[in-house]
Amino acid sequence: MARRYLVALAALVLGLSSPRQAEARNAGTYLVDPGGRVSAVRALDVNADGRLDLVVLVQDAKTADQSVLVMRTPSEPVKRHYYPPDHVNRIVLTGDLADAGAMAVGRFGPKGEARLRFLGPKGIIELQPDGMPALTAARTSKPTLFGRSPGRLLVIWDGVADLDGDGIDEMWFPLATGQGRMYVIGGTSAGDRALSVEPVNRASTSAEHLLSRHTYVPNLFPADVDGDGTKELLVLDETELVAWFLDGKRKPERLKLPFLEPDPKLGPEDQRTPRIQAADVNGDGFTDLLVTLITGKRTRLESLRTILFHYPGPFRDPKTGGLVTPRARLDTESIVLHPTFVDLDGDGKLDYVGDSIRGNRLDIIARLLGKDPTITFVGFRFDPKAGTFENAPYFTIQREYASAEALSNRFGRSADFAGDFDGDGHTDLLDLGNLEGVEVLRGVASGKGAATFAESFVPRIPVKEGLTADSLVVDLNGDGRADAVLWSKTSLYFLISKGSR
Amino acid sequence: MRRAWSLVLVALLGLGGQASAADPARVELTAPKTVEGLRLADVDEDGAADIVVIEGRTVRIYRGRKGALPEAAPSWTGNVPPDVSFVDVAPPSRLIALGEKGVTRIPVFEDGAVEEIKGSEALTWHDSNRVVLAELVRAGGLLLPSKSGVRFQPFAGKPIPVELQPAHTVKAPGPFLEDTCNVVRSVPAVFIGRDGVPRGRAGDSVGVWVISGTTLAFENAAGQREQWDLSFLGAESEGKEVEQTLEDLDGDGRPDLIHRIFTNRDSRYGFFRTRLREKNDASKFSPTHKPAVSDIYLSGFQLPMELIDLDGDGRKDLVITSIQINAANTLRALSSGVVSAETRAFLNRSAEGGTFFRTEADALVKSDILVKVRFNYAGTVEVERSFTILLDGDFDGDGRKDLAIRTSATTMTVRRGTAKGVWEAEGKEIAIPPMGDAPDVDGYTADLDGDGKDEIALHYRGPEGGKDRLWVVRTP
Repeated sequence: MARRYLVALAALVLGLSSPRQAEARNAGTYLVDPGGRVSAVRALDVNADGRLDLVVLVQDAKTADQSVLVMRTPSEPVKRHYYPPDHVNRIVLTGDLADAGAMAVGRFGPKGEARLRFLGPKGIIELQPDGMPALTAARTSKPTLFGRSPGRLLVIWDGVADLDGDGIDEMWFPLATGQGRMYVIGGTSAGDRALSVEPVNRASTSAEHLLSRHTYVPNLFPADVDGDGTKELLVLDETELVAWFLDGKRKPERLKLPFLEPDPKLGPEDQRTPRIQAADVNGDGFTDLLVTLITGKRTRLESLRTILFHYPGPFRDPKTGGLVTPRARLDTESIVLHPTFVDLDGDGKLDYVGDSIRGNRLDIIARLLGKDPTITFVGFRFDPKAGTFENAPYFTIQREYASAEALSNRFGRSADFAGDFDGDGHTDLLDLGNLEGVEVLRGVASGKGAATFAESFVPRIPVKEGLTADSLVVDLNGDGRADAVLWSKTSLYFLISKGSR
Repeated sequence: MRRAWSLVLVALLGLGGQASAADPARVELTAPKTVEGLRLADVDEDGAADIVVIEGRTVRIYRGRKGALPEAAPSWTGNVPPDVSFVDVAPPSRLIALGEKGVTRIPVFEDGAVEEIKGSEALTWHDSNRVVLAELVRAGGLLLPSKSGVRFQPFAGKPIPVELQPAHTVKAPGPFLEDTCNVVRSVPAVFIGRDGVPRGRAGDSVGVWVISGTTLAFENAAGQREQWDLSFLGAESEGKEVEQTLEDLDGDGRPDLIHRIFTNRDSRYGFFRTRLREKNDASKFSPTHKPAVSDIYLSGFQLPMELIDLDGDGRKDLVITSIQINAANTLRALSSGVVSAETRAFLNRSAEGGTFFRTEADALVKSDILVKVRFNYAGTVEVERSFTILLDGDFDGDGRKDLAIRTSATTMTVRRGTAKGVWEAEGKEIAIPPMGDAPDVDGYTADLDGDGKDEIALHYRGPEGGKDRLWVVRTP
C-alpha cells in the first residue's frame, strides 16, 4: 500500500514538475513544413464537414514563387504533423495566377461553397479548394487594380462578407480602369454594382522607378447600421462616414464625424489622431463605432495616451441627425498598438483589450540598444447594464515583447486573447512573448470584477528559430476548445488544446 | 570738406545704398507657399541654368541670366491641365506633359501652340492634387510609357519599344477605417546607353536597358534584343529591402548593375559588370553578372547613395552618407536632437582595370545632422532629419566637385575638390540666409549665371502652416 502510494505520489510530482508532461496533458503540438515562408493564414470550413480548415500563403525561399496550401482538418490527427498528406493540397501560382496581386477566401459558390478568388490585372480567377477551376462567370472578368511582379508577396484580401445574409459572400475590390473605382460582386448578379468610391492616386518618380502610381484603396467595413439584419458598407470620405446600402434601393447615407475635423489650436508637436473601428459590442444587432484617440506630444513618449470612445449603434442621433454622444471614455497610458474587441468572459458581449509599450526616454534608449521591451495589456469588460465598458480595468498584465519588432517599427501582435483553450467559458492568453516560444495562460475570473492570467495551461514551449509576430486562434477540430496556429520562417506549428473542460 | 559732406549726405539719403543694398552674392526668389518639386536645368539653352519650381499644378520658371543671378520673380508661370500627372523640362524652351490625354509639348518663355506628340500612350489615371517632375527627356529623346512597357523615342531616329513588366505590389490595409490598401505600380527606371548586342554583330549605337522582373533586358531600334538573368541575386526577404540601379561605372557606355540589400541598420552594395556574349554563344541569356566586381558593406542607417563624377575623370564615383545606430548617437539624438553622420567617398577605379570601388573609402567627412524623434499614432518611431549635403557642385570651376555641408542655421562649410584626395581636409564657411523656423533646407547646384562656376539654390521648407522660402547663393 505504502509502495503504491509512493509510486502514485512520485508520478504526480513528476507530472506537475515536468513542462513536457503538462504540455502533453493540455495540448498537443504538431509541426508542418509548408515548403517555404508563411506570410498569412486564414481559417474556413472548405468542405462543409463542420471543422475549420486552413488556407496558407507560402513563398518559396529560393525561387520566391508563391503557392497556396489548403489544409483540410482531419477528424483524426496524424502523429507529428496533424494533417495527413492527402488532406493538404498545394496550388502553385503560375500561368494565369502568376500576376494575381491578392487572394480572397470566402463562400463564393452558388450555394455558399468555399472558393478561392485570385484578383489580378486581367480579372478574377476562381478556384475550388482542391485547385480545380470553379465555373467562371462573366461577372469575375473585370480587371482589378491588384497585381504582382515576380518575387513579390501575394496578400490576402479581406474585402469579403455576407452582407445580405443569404449564405453567399459578397466581395468588393478596386477596378483597374480609371482611378480604381470600387466594385461589389454580390452573392448573385443582382448584387453586383459599382460604388462611387474612388481611391486617391498619387504620382511619384525615383531613381529606381521612372514613373510610379500609388493608389490608396479605402477600407470598406461591413456594418449593420440600421439593425435590419443586413450589412451595409462603411467608408470614410474626408470627415464623413458614408454607409452604402447594397439593396439597390437606398442612397448612401452620410454622417459627419466631428472628431475628424482638424483642430486649429493644435501645435506642430501635438498629436491628436482618431482611429476608427466598427463592431457590435453589445450584441444588439446594431454596429457600434469604437474610436481610439491618440493624444499627447509627438516628441514625448510619456505624454502619449489612448482614449477609447464608444459610440453605440445606431450612432446617428434621431433628434440632431448628427453623431450620438459617446457612452464611454477610457484613458490608458501610451499608444494602444492593437485595440481589440473580444468576448473575454463568455457573456456574448465584446470586451476591450489594449496593448501598449510604455516608458520614458531611458526606456527608449534601452530599447534602441536592443533590450526587449515590456508590453502591457489592459482589459475592460463590457457592462450590459450600463450599455458600455466598465471604467475600471478588468485586468492589467505585463509580458515580454521582442525588441526586433519594436526596432523595426513592425509591432506585430505577440499575444491573443481570443481563445478559450480550456473550455471553461473564459478566454485564455496565448503569448508569444519575445517570439522565442509560446505559452498559454488560463484566464480566470476572480469573482470581484477582475481576472488573472497567471496560471499556466501550456507551459512555455521554446521555438529555436523564432516565431512570426502573428497567430490564428480558432477551434480547428470543433471540440469547443480553442487551438492555435503559429508560424516561423520555415514551419507551421499547431497547438491543439485537449485539456480541462 | 564740402565733398566729404556730400558723400555723407548721399549715404544718409540712401542714394548710393540702392546699388550697394542689393547683395550680388544672393537673391531671395518669390517662392510659392509650398515647393513640391524643384529642378535646375537650362531650359532655354542660353548657358545659364534656370530654376523650375512646382506647386500643385503650377509650374514656375526663374530664368538664369548671364552675369547675374535670377530675378526674384519667375519669368514664366503656367498651370498644367488636370489630366496631367508628370512633366519634364525639354529644351529648348519646352515642357513635356504626360497625362490622360497623351503627351504634349508646352512652350515656355515664348508664345506658341501646345503640340501633341503622336503615337504616345496616355495614362489611364491622374493625380488630382499635383504634378510631378519626372525624367522623361533623355539622351536626345523621350521616354514614354507604352501598352507593353516603355518606348524610347529619339528626337531623330527610329523609336525603340521595350517590353517590360511594371513593378506591381499590394500591401494589405490595417484594421482601422482610415487605413488604406496601398497598391503601387511602377515603370522601372530605364538606362539609355550603348548597344548591348554581341561583338561582331552589327547593331544600332543606342539602345534601351531596363530591369524587368529578374531580367536585365536590352533592345535597340533594329529590334535586336539581349537579356541577362538576375535571379542569382535572390528575392526580397523579411526585414530586408532591395534596390537595383543601372549606372555606367566603367565608362563603356553600357550600364552596370548596383544591387543594394539593406535594413535600417546596415547596407551591402554589390557592383556587377555587364558582359556581352561572345559571337557564337547561343544561350538564352547573356553571360552572368556574377561575381561582383566590388562589394561594400557599411553599418548604420544610410541615405540614398549618390553617383557623381567627383574628380572629373568621366567616371562616376560613389558617395554614401550614413548615421550609426549606437549608444552615442542614440543619446545625442534624444538629448540634444543631433546625430553624427559620416559621408564617405569611393573613387571609381575602373580605369585601372578590375574593381570599381575599393572596400575602404577614399575620403570620410563627419558632420552633424539635426534629428527629431517622434512617436506617431501607430506607435512607430519616426526620425525626422534635417541636413543639407551637396555633392555635385563645382563652385570654383576647376572641373572637380566640391562638398558643401550645412554646419549651422546660418552657415555652410565648403570643401574644395582636390587633385590629391577627394576634398580638402578643412573647409571654408560661407554664410547662408538664416533658417529661422524652417525645419529643413534642401540644396541644389548649377551654373545659374553662365560663368562656369556653380551657384547654390536653397529651398527652406516652411514649418507646418508656414511658407517656403527660396534663395540663390553664390559661394565666394
